[in-house]
Amino acid sequence: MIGRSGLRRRRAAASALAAGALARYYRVPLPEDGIRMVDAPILAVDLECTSLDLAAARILSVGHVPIDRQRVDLAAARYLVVNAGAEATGNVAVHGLTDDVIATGAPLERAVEQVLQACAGRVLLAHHARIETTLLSRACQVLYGAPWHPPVIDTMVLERRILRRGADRPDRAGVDLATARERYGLPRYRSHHALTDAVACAELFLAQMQQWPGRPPTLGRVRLG
Amino acid sequence: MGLDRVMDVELDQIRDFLAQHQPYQDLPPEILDEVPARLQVAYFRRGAVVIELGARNEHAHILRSGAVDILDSLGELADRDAAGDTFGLSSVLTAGPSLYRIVAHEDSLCYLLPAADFRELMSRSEAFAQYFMRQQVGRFRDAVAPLRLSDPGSAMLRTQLKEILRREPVTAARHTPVDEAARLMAREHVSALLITDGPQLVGIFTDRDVRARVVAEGLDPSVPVGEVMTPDPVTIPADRLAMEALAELSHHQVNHVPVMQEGRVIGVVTAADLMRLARDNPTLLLSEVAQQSDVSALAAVVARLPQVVRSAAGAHAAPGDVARFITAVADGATRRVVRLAEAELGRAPMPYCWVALGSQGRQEAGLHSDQDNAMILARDPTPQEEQYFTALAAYVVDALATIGYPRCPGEVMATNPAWRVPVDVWRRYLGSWIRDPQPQAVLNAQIFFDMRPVLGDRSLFERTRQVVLEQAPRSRRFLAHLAQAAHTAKTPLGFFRDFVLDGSGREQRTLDIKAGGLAPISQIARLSALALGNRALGTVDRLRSAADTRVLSADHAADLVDAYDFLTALRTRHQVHSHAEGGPVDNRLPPASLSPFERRHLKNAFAVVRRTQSTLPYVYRTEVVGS
Repeated sequence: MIGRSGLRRRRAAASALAAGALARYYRVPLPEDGIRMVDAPILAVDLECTSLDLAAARILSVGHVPIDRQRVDLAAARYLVVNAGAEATGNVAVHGLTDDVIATGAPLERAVEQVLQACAGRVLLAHHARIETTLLSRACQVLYGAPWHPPVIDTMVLERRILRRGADRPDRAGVDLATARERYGLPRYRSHHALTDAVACAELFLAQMQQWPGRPPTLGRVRLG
Repeated sequence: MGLDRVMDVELDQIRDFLAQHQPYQDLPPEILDEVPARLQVAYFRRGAVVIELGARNEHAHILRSGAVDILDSLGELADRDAAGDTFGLSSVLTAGPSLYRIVAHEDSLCYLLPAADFRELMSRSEAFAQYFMRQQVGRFRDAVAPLRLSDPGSAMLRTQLKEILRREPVTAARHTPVDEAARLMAREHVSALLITDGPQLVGIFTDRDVRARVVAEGLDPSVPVGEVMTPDPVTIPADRLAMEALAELSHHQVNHVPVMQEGRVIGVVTAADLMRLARDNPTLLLSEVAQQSDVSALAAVVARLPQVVRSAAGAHAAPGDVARFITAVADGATRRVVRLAEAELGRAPMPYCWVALGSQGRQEAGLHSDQDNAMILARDPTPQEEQYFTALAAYVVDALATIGYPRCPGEVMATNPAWRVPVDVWRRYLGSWIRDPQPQAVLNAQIFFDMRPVLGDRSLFERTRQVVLEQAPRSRRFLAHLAQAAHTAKTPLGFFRDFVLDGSGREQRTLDIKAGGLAPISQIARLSALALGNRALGTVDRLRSAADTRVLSADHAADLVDAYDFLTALRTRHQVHSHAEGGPVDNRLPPASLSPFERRHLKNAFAVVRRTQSTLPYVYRTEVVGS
């Protein structure tokens, strides 16, 4: 986890090195620290990848959907399958992407560019965001010569915090996406699909904000994931 | 590559959900495919207000999970929706304020479909449109509180401030001398001046300030108004309800509140404005009508009718209730005027009954309706008695005309000696129309079958009506003549650009909503009641009691009732609007004033009338009278 000032420093450093789509991304200013988290412009992102081992994982598909004024905007939802190459098998049973589908996918650069463009000026939202930030940042390093440091809200972190304040014992209660959603009465979705999971995460975030114990958190006051 | 194709697949979960629920499952697949990408998702915690009563709402809400309560304007539970149901339509369909308050009964996830997209779906799929029309009409009928005559606060509760602002704000800069400001207020007839700095509202200066802060303090009248104004006054947003403004006024003990919209001041609402709103109360108007002691005072009270109707219609009173209220005022005025006449002419020499005919008889008067009335006398009058009733009828008809009820151009009024006759003559009239029907005479006589006693000896009316109840159902030829007339009454086909398309393909500039819709339905209703020997007078009552009988199928009856309500609501809106604009209050709607949705619904209403009309020749065997 990094705080806001740390994030700003890192962004400034990365911005100086960045080329292409990443440079354009860094030029768009972020929302103010004082804004309520729930009112911030947000992009919910989910990646499906070849492996849980982040060091070896490759991106197979990307789904993202924005949240504006507490509404998930499906009209702006996007999904892209990435052509990760023939060696990128992964667990077809989990993500449902066969080699044939992957072979028709877009180049990784196009997927990354699309996320950067959609995320400009927005806060990244993901459930267990480390996967998204790690893989996309690594791709940026290769493609544009600098890492990607978006401000991040992680619904998994938020869920732990909510549980810690409540009576439940967080170490016992599940915080995976499906379990967390169930806690808020959100419908059951087929998971492990990048866009479905992005939408599911966005909905979870809206629910968490509605049920947040105490004063609504601002972007600046929470530590970012 | 097909990005969109891939994405379509991905909102499949939402598409599949919609496909499991009516009426989305009836949409053609290619249309259904487009729906998910037009949605937004919102989450509401249990107890949260999803749509506020009276609020503008821009989306049809499709409930994905959870449950919502639909509460009517009195806070009564009108319905509870579950997953797959669509709500928020009262405002989406009318582009008006929500008739309901919608509250999350459980934690709820909703898909929001923008109103424009929803209307597009309605225009693209007949089944889709039909489904929601039925749902909405049903809800309107069952759930909207009828015009509550005992509910003085209704207009206050339901009227937004921007609806009662009557003029542009009167403003002055802060350096304006007080005497000049006072002159401006006098010239503009306002009791408060808004002090602005560019577009910014910086203060308010009222006539009370002139007295208390300038005159009483002995200040030089050339002092700048900025020094004596109330700086940073209390303001209120334009979308708040009148009631909230009243609360603000009393809380801050002020008489004026500037009304703001998008950071700009758009007017001032005063305590007097709010009092006037409270006065736009049907009960109050009716009781005042009954209390007036001369014709001009009565005229002044009845002159408020359009405004009260406007409030009631704005408060979404059921269309039939508005018409009943307008009729009640006409009845009340008639009773009052007859009493005034008797006070002047002395007591009547014999019992009589004053009856209303036509739309007033059916309790369906509009704002423009003219007089249709008659008198039933107990017996043959002597010449002297005849003189008395002549004078009485003249007094009443004249007074009603003065008050604002125009004379009947066809002279169907109690002043016409033919319609001021003894009960035996009335029985003969009606009997001969029924037994020996002449086509034109029967047509002209139709309004007499909508007779209703307004005051006097009711038994005279009962004896008159007895003839109709006994003889009409048995008189095939009489019914066949009426059926023939009802069968051939013309309704428009629909609209083309901004013209009304009549049955022969001609384009008319205005829609005559009475001749083209209300009257043909009333005719069918009257015919049904006569054939069944039914006492009901109102069109809707007549249709309901004729539903599922040998003369009218349950479906046709229900469709006609819905169509009649819809046409009545449109007519009320048109008349209220025309009155407010100072135009003629009539039945002629310019098609340009109708939304595409209303045009479509109108077209359906006309089709309903034609469908029922086409059955009449078979039901009533009109071939016996020829065509």
